Amino acid sequence: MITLALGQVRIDAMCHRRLASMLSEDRPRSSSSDGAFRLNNAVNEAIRAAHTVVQQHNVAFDEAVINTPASGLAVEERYVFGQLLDQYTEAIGARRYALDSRSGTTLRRPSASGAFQLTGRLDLVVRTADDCDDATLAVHRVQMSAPPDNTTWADAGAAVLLSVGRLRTVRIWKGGVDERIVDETDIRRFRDELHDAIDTARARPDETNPGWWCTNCRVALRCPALASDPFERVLSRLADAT
Amino acid sequence: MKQELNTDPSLGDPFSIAPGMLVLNVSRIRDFEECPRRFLLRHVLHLAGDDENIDDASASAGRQVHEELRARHQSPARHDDTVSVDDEGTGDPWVVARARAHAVLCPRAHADYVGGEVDVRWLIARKNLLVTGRVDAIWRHLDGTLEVRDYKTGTCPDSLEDDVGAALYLLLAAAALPHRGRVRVTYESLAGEQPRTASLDATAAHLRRAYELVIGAAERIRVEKAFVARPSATTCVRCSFSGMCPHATTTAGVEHERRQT
Repeated sequence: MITLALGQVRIDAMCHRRLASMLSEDRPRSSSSDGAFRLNNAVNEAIRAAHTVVQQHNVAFDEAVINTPASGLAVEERYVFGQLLDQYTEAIGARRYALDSRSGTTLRRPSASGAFQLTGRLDLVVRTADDCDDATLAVHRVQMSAPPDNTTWADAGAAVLLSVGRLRTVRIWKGGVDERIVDETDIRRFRDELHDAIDTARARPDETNPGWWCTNCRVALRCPALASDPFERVLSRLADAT
Repeated sequence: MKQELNTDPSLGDPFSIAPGMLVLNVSRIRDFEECPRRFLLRHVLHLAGDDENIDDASASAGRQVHEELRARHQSPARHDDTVSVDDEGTGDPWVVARARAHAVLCPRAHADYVGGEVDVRWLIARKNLLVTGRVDAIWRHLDGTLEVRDYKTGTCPDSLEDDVGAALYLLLAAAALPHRGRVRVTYESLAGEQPRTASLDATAAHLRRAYELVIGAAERIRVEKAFVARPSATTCVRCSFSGMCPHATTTAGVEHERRQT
């Protein structure tokens, strides 16, 4: 079964040639860079550990998060690490959450047809402490920079991975917090768009759509849509013109 | 401080997930040449500087100027309006003033507007390198010259001969835009009381120099491992990482170092 990584198949960054190349592989690759991933992992590990302490020892989150180690990070990363933990602590305030066991794990969800499966890692999945109904399930994301305006795709994908029909998503970054509800309409649109994109990529695997995503494309080096004249030809064109 | 970090070029941005491919633009080259540490923080570790997530007024106003000018070129009848061309005509007066400054510099009387806010990419396949840039406006002159314009709402150099940005734009315009004539880069200075332009026409020498600049930067970035800071009064004072950087020459950097120890 073909596996698609949620972060790699954003519909707003879709090139059928790029998607077709993913469909031809038997395993997904991470699109996250190593450097960014390291700090992100450290922050999320610290938050998960603090949530666990809150559950086990019945203390407030701001007490649990104190003295969280930040080993293996550069000086500047430790500075941002501290800022992000402060930001998260402030964002959740006095609310009490229970950490869901799916936090920090990679989830897989086969499509209804069984033709492919979606995969993705959810860093922080939490429930309100007094209610374990799925409707109150929340996905928290701690990011280093402000998210793009349209985050529906990733949020609806998270709901699919968790198999819930409604999800509260909270995004926390240095300088801001964004909270929204993903409902069945968003999730249905996500499924429809994903299936359409896959069908089109299979039918027209050579169709290109260059964009910012070219910088993260594994087949860019052989892409016919990118200007790639050798430098000597560029010089020759200029000589002809002058 | 010299700190070895896990910065295997095959793994992280600006190193694309395409094996070994490096992605460069003006900002990445400038950051690396001015201070390798800043390059590491911004483009490899993806840290945001202290002021970078806050939508500061000057950056926001600069973006509005670009949007206003693109809208004016798409509605030529309103190019010289004294109000914003948005639906209600309620634009920021500072933005409208910059658009009015552009009006006296605009080449539209003798050139065709090709497009604005255009992303340009050139793949140098044999070097595993993708060069990218965003062009504010493209004009095609009657004599066939293709002119790439960059709007400057802050500082603007008098000459573009030694400007890294102009070199990159020349190279991208010559290599990546579908064009067979001459190529020119022009900066429009819209900030001061006297709007002015600075231009550079591409010659083979300019293109060679720009190409060597890009290839040289790419080679240095690929072998870089330590990303040692290069602090200076002029660089640190306008660096958004100075508040967290122990090497910064500013008071904030010194204070940070004191706290760390």
